[in-house]
Amino acid sequence: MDEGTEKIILEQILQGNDRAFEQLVQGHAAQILSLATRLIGDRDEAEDIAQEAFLRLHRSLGTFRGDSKISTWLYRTVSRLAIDHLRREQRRRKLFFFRKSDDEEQPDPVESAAAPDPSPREALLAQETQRRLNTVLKKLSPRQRAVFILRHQEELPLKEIARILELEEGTVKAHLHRAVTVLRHELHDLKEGSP
Amino acid sequence: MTRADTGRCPEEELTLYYYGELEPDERRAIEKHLEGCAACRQQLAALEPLLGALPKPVIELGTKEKQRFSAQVMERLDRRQKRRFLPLFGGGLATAAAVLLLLLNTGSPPDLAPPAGNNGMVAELEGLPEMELLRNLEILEEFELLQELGDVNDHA
Repeated sequence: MDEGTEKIILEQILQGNDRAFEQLVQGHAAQILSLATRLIGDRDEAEDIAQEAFLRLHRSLGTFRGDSKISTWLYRTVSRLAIDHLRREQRRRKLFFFRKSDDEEQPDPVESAAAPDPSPREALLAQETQRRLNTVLKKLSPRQRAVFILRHQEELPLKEIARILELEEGTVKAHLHRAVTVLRHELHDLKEGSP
Repeated sequence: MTRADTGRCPEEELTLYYYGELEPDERRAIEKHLEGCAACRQQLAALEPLLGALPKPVIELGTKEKQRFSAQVMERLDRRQKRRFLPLFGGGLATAAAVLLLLLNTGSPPDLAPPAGNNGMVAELEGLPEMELLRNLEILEEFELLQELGDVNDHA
């Protein structure tokens, strides 16, 4: 959605046109749901987070000054909601000494979307790599995980990530390095050419 | 100054080097360090295939999925807007009930007053309509509290 169209839609929303808001949601749904799923690792929970981000956007539109793009605003909100969600999950796990074993986990929809039109063997390898990556990502702190996802998968520059997460750039660098160190340790057997 | 300048192995800078997140002078310092440090060259050589092999999945949403998603957002939005209205309505109802209760208390006809010498049972029975109103008020308050809790959970 280009900025001109977005501006027109915003004006329509501010005039009380709910259909225009629905159009805005549809325009950003894939990108925001994709980000939420990567951050959370669970499609259902990610949908909930992504929907909450759009509801908060609707509530804030009256005061939206247009300093940032809608997508940036949504990225920021989803990232923060996801970090809060992951922290609550970690606390809950600690509190109840409960953690699902890998065998109990539901298949991740990200796994099936990992590679477009792969051969069956490649698809299987991609699923296995994704499953292992998800397991390792759970060992990171919510912030380390968010920084890694935003840098490695979303390919955002660290300066932008620092703004999104309201962290010092040095802290973001440290989180990224910590995440990479854990991944290197846990996935050292992955070879070049793997999907 | 980077750790590369000090002669120590700059592990964090190697990660940042891989992601292209170093300033030009920092980058030059790392490259200089790499020329003379086999351990760091080996580490970088191991890092590149590992990070390169990690998947970057993309969720594709078809038109129907986008429509379903946005319909759910609109439904939640509608529910929230209604909930914001309900406490106002409930509050108005509670105020009306309170006024009614006040009128009942001040305007009780003399023949409804318990006759002297009766035990407390009669007084209790005659006070039932007021008790009913009070109970209704409590229900309304609990309802509003539940609404607020619902909102808090929704925000959480």
